[in-house]
Amino acid sequence: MLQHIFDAAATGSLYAVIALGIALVFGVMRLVNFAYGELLMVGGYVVLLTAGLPWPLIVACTLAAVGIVAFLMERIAFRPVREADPTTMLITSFAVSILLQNIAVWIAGRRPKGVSFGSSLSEPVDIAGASVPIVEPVTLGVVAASLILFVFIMRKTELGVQMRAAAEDFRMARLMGVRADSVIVAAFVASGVLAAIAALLLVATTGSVSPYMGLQPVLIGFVATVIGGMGSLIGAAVGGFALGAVTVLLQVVLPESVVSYRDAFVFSFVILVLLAWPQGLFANRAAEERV
Amino acid sequence: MNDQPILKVDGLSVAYGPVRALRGVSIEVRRGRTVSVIGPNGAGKSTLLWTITGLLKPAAGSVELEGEVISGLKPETIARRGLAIVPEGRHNFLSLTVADNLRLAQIAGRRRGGDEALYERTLDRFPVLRDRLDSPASQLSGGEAQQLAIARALLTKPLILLLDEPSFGLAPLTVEGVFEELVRLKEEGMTVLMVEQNAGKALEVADDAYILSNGEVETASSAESLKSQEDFDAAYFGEGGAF
Ligand SMILES: Nc1ncnc2c1ncn2[C@@H]1O[C@H](COP(=O)(O)OP(=O)(O)OP(=O)(O)O)[C@@H](O)[C@H]1O
Ligand SMILES: [Mg+2]
Repeated sequence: MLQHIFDAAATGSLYAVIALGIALVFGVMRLVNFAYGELLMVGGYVVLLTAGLPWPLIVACTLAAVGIVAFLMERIAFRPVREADPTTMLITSFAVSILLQNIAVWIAGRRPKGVSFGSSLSEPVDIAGASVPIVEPVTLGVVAASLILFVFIMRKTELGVQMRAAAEDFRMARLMGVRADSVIVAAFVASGVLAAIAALLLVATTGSVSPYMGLQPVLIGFVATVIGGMGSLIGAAVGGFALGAVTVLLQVVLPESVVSYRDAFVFSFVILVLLAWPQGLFANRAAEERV
Repeated sequence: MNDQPILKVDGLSVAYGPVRALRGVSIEVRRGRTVSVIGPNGAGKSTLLWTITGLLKPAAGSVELEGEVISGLKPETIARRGLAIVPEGRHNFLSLTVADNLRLAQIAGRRRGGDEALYERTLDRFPVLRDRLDSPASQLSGGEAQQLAIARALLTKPLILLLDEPSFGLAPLTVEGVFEELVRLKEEGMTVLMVEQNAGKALEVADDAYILSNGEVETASSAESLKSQEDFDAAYFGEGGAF
């Protein structure tokens, strides 16, 4: 039983990080960045490329590389269409997503590749009588530390106050001297760092990378932010955690004959949540149009 | 230098698609003066202020701040040059605490030489806010929210303060408070451009006044002469009593 709780918590916290990255950019841009999944994918390939190095270097390279790709993504793809209508931005995000997937296929091939990063993390460890792979407590610890740092930055630093203000009322924030470019770049880079963290944890768990590895996470992140209430960062994190935990627990409790329909049950849960709270769990007026 | 207006709006035209909201509007605000723009609903008053802040782009005409053209600059750049607005509907950051709302303004103010003393003075001006620093801005009453919006603007240490209907939606007693505050600001030498529907009140504090109607300046004069003007009511409330 405890083992399943660990599974659920580890998956839930991974989903929470993924969802936070989506919500952060949505907050200041009112854009669901579907190319976020490819940031994660880029992170996976950086791990593959640096696989021989000591692990702190792998982590540092991944964080830096994905942060830079996110930065370039904003500058090259999204800044020129920032004033365009939301549909244009959305299509841009699909285009960037497909472009990056194809670059990955072109360079590394279509087939998934095995990565040995963190293979020692799959060893089981005994926690309170339950036997769980070390990667699960590690995931919990990494996510908890990242979230604490994230909350600290958002609450205590000048940039954090500016980002929260811009997420609620972008125009008023500008009227108070907050640079639109700065907060948007910051949101993209931070979402890149979160994608890198998710990529590291994901690769350590699954042991493989592929050009399409970002597709499922971005869908999860999107659904989680909808559950949480678009625009609410806490909502996204909670929504991600709930989605991950429910997925894992359904895997356990569903009878064998229907377990292959697990995702149908997961999305029924999503629909039920949205029926009860159509604006999401943590809806606030922050979800207003940016214009 | 001192004769130069702080704010000069020259021949400003703004359109929302086919709707021409402003048609060649020119106004001036000199240092230390309080200027009121009054006019009926839909006259273009808010449009004028949004265009000055840089959020709306004019189709023609220009805006100058201390002799430099600011029309075409980004809103954040204009704000950093010293233009602050208390907008229609206040637009406080409701998900932030009162303290964080003020902190955001302080960040802007520090760039313009604002210091702790300015912060203390501003809180002394609005003691209610000092007691509510840790409350979310969403929990303030209408009057308190207006005080926060004004405090926030003042903390940016502006050259000129723009106010869009500061009395809107407030109880009569609270309205008195807001206008008393405006009088005090004027005595302290603040330059103010204000838009109001409450013409009587607006003319009481103002030095100069413009009547805006249908996107055009109908009358420009000293507030004094406008108040005593016999045909004021006709000019202002005429054509169906827009108020
Ligand atoms: N976003 C918009 N899109 C289209 N038309 C608009 C928009 N905003 C304002 N208008 C039109 O522009 C004109 C001027 O509007 P504005 O809000 O500036 O008037 P106002 O003088 O501030 O009125 P009020 O006293 O009601 O606040 C009106 O005819 C209005 O209908
Ligand atoms: Mg108005």
